[in-house]
Amino acid sequence: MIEEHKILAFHERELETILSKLKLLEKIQKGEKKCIICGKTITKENFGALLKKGDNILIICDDPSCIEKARSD
Amino acid sequence: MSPADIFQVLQLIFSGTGLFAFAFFLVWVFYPEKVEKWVILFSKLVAYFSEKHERRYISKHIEYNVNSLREKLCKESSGILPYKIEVEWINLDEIESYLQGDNVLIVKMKNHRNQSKNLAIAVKEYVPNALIPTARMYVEPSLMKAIDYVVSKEFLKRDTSAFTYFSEVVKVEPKVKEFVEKVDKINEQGFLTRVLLSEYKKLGLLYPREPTQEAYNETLDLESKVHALVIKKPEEKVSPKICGRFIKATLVPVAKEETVEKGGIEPHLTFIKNANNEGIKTFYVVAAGKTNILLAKTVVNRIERETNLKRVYEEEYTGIFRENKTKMYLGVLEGTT
Repeated sequence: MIEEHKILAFHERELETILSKLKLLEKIQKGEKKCIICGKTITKENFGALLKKGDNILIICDDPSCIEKARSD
Repeated sequence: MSPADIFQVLQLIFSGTGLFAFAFFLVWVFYPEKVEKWVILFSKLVAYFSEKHERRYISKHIEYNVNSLREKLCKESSGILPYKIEVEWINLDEIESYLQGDNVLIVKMKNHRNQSKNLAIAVKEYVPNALIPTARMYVEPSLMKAIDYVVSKEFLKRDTSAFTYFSEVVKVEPKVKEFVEKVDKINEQGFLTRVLLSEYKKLGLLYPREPTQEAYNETLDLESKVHALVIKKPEEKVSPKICGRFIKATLVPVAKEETVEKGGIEPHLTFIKNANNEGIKTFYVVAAGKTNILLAKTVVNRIERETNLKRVYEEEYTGIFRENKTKMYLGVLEGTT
């Protein structure tokens, strides 16, 4: 049996719902959230991924390099 | 089952719908990858009208593209990508439960019209987590990043838009870029998976020890020697042998034109026997072009007969040799003790 590397995903149309649930929507609308890797201001358009590290929920932009680095850093 | 029942089943099979279903069943059994492709195409068609099919298209397209190439790469070197990729759609009502663990990443997938970007992101996330997972920490970090980059490009080659997006967006540090150029050349001749990664994956045996500079140096040494071989001029002499603490392998290029002209295959046989006595454990006998391939196979056969080395892998494939598409050969010999 071959093991799997799972990529957890959600569709972009669900972004607002997810951000509301995690109480991040307002902060993103106000431009208060930055990509933890490159420092770019996160918008609904360039939102790439959520990362849970310790007790924090971190946000990464949609640059594939940032998404790759997020888990390894 | 009575004869009447059998007749009824046969009648059903060969009626209009039954015949179609039976044909589909046969294709599904004998060519499952074709059926998978049809399902993806169907999902793509209906993705415009149905959210459920859009999701299915996004995930199945990624899984099909990645897993089919993964299978091919694992044939070239077994176990280099031990995990398949799977895209799991999260349940929004349970988002908190997904975020219970540590280091959990949840990726936003774009609309299916941007599927090339979804594929590029998935590949960029998959490769550094799945390629020689237990051994990668022992490979010099910049070299490993370069290998990830080249393997990721390999995954995206079949999708021009994904490949272009990846090449434009992914930034490569200058040090890694130097390696990327060299690893690209190695890959053109088919030695990235078959030689480099085949050797690097063995370093997984060191896990969970801390990586050392000595191991890093050996991985660099192997890369540099294989690169020197792939770019060498016809008369140039290179020594693709590495007898380190962790890597004990050599490439045996057959035939250096002058060697065969002077002494037949004997010099290759002597080289392998001597290297085996020195402690080299794995021999990659390589050749390009019809005549050299025949000679290389003779070398492998003779070595198997005359030493305790055994052929563990053999393949003929097409690679880029001196700027031209050429038939290439690789035979791997390993010690039995």
